[in-house]
Amino acid sequence: MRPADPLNRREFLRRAAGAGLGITLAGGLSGLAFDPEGPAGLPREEAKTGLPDFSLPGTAGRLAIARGAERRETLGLALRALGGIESFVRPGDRVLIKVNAAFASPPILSATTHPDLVFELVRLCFAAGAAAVVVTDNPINDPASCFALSGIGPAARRAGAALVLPSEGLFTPVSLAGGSLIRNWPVLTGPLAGVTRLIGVAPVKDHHRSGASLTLKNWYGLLGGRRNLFHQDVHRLIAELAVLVRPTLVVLDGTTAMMTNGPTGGSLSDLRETRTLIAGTDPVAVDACGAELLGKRPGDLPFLGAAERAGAGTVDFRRLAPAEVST
Amino acid sequence: MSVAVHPAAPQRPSRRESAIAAALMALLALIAVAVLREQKRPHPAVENFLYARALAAAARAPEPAALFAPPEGTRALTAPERFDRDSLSDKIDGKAELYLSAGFVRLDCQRLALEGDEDAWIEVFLYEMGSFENAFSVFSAQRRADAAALDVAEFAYAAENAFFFVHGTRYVELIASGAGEPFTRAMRAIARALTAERPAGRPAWTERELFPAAGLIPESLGRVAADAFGLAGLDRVYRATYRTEAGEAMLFFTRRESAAEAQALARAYLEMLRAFGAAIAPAEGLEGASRIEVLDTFEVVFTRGPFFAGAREAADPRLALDLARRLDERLAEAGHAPR
Amino acid sequence: MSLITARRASQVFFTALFLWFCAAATLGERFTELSGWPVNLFLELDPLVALATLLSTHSLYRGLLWALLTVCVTILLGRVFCGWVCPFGAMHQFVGWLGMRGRSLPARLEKNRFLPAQNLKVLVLAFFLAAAALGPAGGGSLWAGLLDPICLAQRSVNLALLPFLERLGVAARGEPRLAQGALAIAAVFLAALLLNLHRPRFFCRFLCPLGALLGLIGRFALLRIGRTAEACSGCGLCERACEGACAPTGRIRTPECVVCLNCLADCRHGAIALATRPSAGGEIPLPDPGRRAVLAALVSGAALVPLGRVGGSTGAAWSPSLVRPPGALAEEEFLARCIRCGQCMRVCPTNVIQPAGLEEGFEALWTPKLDFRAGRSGCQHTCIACGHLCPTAAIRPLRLEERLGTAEFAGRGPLRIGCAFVDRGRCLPWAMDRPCIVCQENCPVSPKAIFTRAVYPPVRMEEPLRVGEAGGERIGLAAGRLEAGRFATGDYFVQLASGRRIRIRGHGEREIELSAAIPDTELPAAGSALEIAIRLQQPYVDPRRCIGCGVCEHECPVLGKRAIRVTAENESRHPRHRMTL
Repeated sequence: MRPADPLNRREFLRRAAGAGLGITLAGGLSGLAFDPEGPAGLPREEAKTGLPDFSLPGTAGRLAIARGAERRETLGLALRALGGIESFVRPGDRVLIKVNAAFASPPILSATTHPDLVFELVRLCFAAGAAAVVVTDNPINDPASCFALSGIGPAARRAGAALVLPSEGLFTPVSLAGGSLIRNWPVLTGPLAGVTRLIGVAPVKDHHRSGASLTLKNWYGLLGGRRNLFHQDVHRLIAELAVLVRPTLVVLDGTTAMMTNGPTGGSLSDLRETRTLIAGTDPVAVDACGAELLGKRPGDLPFLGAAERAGAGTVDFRRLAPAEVST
Repeated sequence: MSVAVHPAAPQRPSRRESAIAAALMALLALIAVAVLREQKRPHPAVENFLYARALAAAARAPEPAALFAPPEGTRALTAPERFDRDSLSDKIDGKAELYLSAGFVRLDCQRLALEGDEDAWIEVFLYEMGSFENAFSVFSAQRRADAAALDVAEFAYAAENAFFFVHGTRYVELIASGAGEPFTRAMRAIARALTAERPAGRPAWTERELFPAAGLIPESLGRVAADAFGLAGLDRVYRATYRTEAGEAMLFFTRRESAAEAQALARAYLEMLRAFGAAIAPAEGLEGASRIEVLDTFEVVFTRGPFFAGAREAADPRLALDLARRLDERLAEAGHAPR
Repeated sequence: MSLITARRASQVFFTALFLWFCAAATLGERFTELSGWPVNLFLELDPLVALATLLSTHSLYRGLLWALLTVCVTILLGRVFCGWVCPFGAMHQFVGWLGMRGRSLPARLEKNRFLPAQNLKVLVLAFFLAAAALGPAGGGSLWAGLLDPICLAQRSVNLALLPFLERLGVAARGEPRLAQGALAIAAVFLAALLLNLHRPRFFCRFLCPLGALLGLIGRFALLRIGRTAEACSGCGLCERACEGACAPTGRIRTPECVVCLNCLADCRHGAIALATRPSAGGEIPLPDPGRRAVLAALVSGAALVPLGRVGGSTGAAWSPSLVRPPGALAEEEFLARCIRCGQCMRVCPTNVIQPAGLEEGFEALWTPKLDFRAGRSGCQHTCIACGHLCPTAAIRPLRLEERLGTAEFAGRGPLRIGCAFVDRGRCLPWAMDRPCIVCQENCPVSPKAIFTRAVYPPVRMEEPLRVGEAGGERIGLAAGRLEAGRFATGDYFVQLASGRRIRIRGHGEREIELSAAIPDTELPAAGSALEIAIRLQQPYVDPRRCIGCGVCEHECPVLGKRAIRVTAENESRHPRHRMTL
């Protein structure tokens, strides 16, 4: 079957060229048009990029460390050292207080924000003229029992704040520009609607996975969906949270610190009376300061360095010349 | 086209033709094999179908019955909850890893309120760990430093507001919302109810007998289920702390399947320490053992049959060697004992 | 082994594989069920499906890339797909062979003569490609699925042959599946097969657009059938069993040759061969339907699609009875991808997906439509099988989370395919004074999309009831009778003058036993009229929760025209069809 004569050979070559060209064209066209994903169907909900910036110009870099055993007093001292609650909450403001209500744990175990602190902070906000104060969190256990058993719910209500429990309709997909983990992820944005000030309040806790749970880790409670996945890359996630959430103010309650067995603790012997309350506008600095209460150095907490590199704050908090006060 | 019709005489196919035909048949066979292999991997539609069926079955599954009858002075405050390997982190978040790596099976928990006080309650956590060793691992891993002795079970300790103990294959935590006599009384009653419900029996566990007695701090007896001392693969390790006039140190050992495995593990351990800048030399006074100086502490590690063992965290090298020798003697005796 | 034997084995293999895939395409993990079988293989190998979707969507979806393999093989070897692989072709060849048995040689030669009408399939191809080539913006439509051989065979086996066999008891799984419109589908299939008795491979030669396409693609085939001048005596025996009617005796028409190799066996002079050199008798490498005919076909194809939509079938006059499967794209995109293969209908576990008939317009013919009466249940709201089986993604493969509206889809809510509407003129509690809340009980979503409000109309009695004596939990009647057992179902209440209602627990002909005592102050006077009220829970649909799954329609006891029916309003795939904010 060999092409016997020149005519046949020429014909064969013509055909071979044609076939080759045909295959190339077909292959190329298929490659260009190949669509493994398929049609998108419903118009994708456009993920919001980022969250609003709640920090106030002119208040950057303020840090106060208050020592004392009574939360009401130390909170008042710390806020006054920062310029007073009035420099953060103006009349007519709508304030969202993001607490740590992750577990249905009693207040004495210090696994959640202390209700006394919540009460006092809400009271101060109203005293400064806030039009509304909302308290919220997306707990790990069942929300109703968490807010009830931790005492935060009753305290918030007693002080006149509105308590918002998470529900499916309050989450919308959010992406962090430049982030690799927070992409199109459901975030508790519902309670943020119409809010003008954001204050984070968290206890000082050891954490099995991330080393420590302070004010930056507190923003984890704004995430929805199967956020447990992020435990695999928890330091990078906390750094992204630090960039995503820009609060007006954070309060780190180190009156009683959970030294071991965090984040749930369970035994009073896990706790130590460290009698310190830290407040400031730079959550990275606040956390670096709070880490010392746990006996940890910034080097022990990789998320601090990652957050600083991402531009979310300063780890060397002493450079901010913190105001130190005590009762 | 007028040609006489003769039925065509069948021609024998040429060898080349047969070869090509055979090759094509082989190609068909290959296609059949490929299709059969595809059949093994379930289609996403089938996967979802099975998953939905499982979901429906789980939805129909009956609620777990109340964990146990609330003892006198307490009453149920919330319904019992159950968590499995996938959902454990929904209850205890980051701590789940500790349990999962120790063979966790299931957590049943419930809150009991104290009679007469709305805001006083005790949460009961029953961690089913599958075996006594696993339960003991998580018990010893979380043992608080200033624990008070507790007599509700053989391995138990108390904190101001909590009881922690091992019962059979379960690790139990009773965590109260406050501290004080009423809570303690209630926790005792609950502990009694739990331990009476299923007698633990004597754990068939002879490993602790292998630790030499002199100087042993009993509460320090523990088991590390996985990743002991920072070495992945070093699991099922028993450890205990010793206090002598020469100072404190820890003894540890783990029993492997074979002597070869024990030696491989020892080599891996030494490799890891070298990476930390340890100085390693043969130990004089114990054949085959290595003497290590790392990060201001001294260690002596060795293998004896299927055991990989040693002394560590000693401030004094002679203490490490002495403890190691004593452990070696005990392991040598035990070497012939059945598992 | 001769190549003919190999070819026959190949045809048997692929036809058997094709039929096995059709039969196995039911949801399940067993060997005889879907498990991992690549049931879309033949559709994916089909270059016409790939080319048409490429034209209508400007993309090549997933498995359709397999068509590249067929295209490459065809470029090199000609229409081997037709002769060795195509299951429909194999069926035609078999029926044709049956039809030719006993015929004399001259009759056979006559039947295998090339006819110019064989160029018709090129016009059919041009027509379909033009319809698709309008593209995504122009409303390209896949009418090619109507006559593409693989789609036709798949559809016929899935929706006519297999249901027919199941009804006969062969390989039935439980209740035989309903197959609406099977008559039309089977008629086309049978007609195509029976035409082979007139001329072998009738469909392949005259109608098959895929054959035409492969004939064009095989223009530069390196190996082809040809005559050697020296040995040929011009006897014409090579055409005795020529499947493609490609005239090997004269100038062979290469685009018609299906490489069946029958000519090789029949030639007693060894003058025919499969070779790289051209045939000594000359070749006609391309079909020649005539430029004008091709132009006419192209224009018709391009014009008929928009003409078909001028009535608004994809716009304002959309059909609400056309409920599409969950995951279906918006109608225009859907029609640009649906090849009418019937795979979704075959795999649907509840058998609700049925082929639409002409009642939804010509363009929707044999596309999937949900019929909740036909199925075994509604559309199960945890099932996503149809989208994962659709070879062209006319129905998107969904994730369960998207269907249920959980996890990251929580903001959007569950996927809706329509909304249920209560027909108050037919519903038992609304129109017939009979209690029934079957629809509400079966609504699968939580919280339920059907809620009820109770009303207590008085029961019509033939004779008005009058109280005899009443006390405690009993009332005796002085006038009127109670039909045995009728009022003891728990739905009936005695309506007292004070407005209180007490449930009737039991009764005799003239005596009523209540479930609670009548307060002394409210005892009806002797001789007063007694009213019995019936408690009717009347169903209402909450459109914010209803996903249109049709379980309610399926369970409704009004079996003809159901008293609650799902139509396509509020379906998620068309934001324009939203009913609620």
